[in-house]
Amino acid sequence: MNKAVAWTATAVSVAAIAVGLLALRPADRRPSAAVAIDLEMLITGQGGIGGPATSHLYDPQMLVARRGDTVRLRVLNQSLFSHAIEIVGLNARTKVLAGGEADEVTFTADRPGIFEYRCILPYDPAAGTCAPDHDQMIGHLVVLDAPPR
Amino acid sequence: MERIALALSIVALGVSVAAVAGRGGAPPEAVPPRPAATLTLSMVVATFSGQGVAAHRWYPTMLVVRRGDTVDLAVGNPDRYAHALELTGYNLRTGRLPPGASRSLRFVADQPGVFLFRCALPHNPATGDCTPDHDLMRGYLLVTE
Repeated sequence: MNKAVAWTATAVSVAAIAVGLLALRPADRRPSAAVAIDLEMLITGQGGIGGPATSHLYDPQMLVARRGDTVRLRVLNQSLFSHAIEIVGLNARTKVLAGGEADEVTFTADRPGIFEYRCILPYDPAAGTCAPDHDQMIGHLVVLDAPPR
Repeated sequence: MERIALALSIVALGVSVAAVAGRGGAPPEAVPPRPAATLTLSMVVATFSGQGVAAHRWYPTMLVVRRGDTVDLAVGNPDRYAHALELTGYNLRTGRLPPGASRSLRFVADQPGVFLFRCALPHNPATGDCTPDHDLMRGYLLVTE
């Protein structure tokens, strides 16, 4: 009789501990919730004072998000020439931005990887679009994979 | 009575097995976690101008560290106006950085997530504090797990 009660108590305790571990375990590795990143990106240039820029750059040059995060990116063109940005592979692109203009793109970083963002307006001096360093106007978005759930 | 006890034991054993199996077959960590490191990083106020727009930004905009790392962040302000860095979530502030000043923030990145950093000094032309684009002086610290 006493033995039976002891056995039952032991078995029930083991079950309770196992269930407890099960409940604790996922909490331990639950990734923090998805967030929205809110940034303004500059298309800007460097060059002699008073003259046109000789090279163009993005600030930030690298964006990092976790899978599932939403990125709200306002892009401001500080350059003398027109530009437009596309994040290749994520279907996010701005309208054509003349000097001083801005546009906003919002996207969800729904798959991990490294995505290039680049100017999609070919260099055309007659039209004033982009600049001779068009091919170097590249930045990267790094989307980190979420830890296992 | 003994029979009931035996039945209860079997049920309890079944629950334990189910609980252990029900962990979703999560594979054990294949790669041992990297030991925590101390990262010496720097951040400055960068200024960009063109097309009549003067922009002030924290540079770099994104910082990425792993949970458990110690971050030694030197914050410098080479701008003509005063600024102050505030890291939300970690409750860290440099305090007012006049032109040319720098200060170090040292912290352990013990909470994972995405944390906004921004200028904590509101724009005030009378005192030379920050600039009209104060609200755009923002960036993010990512602490990965």
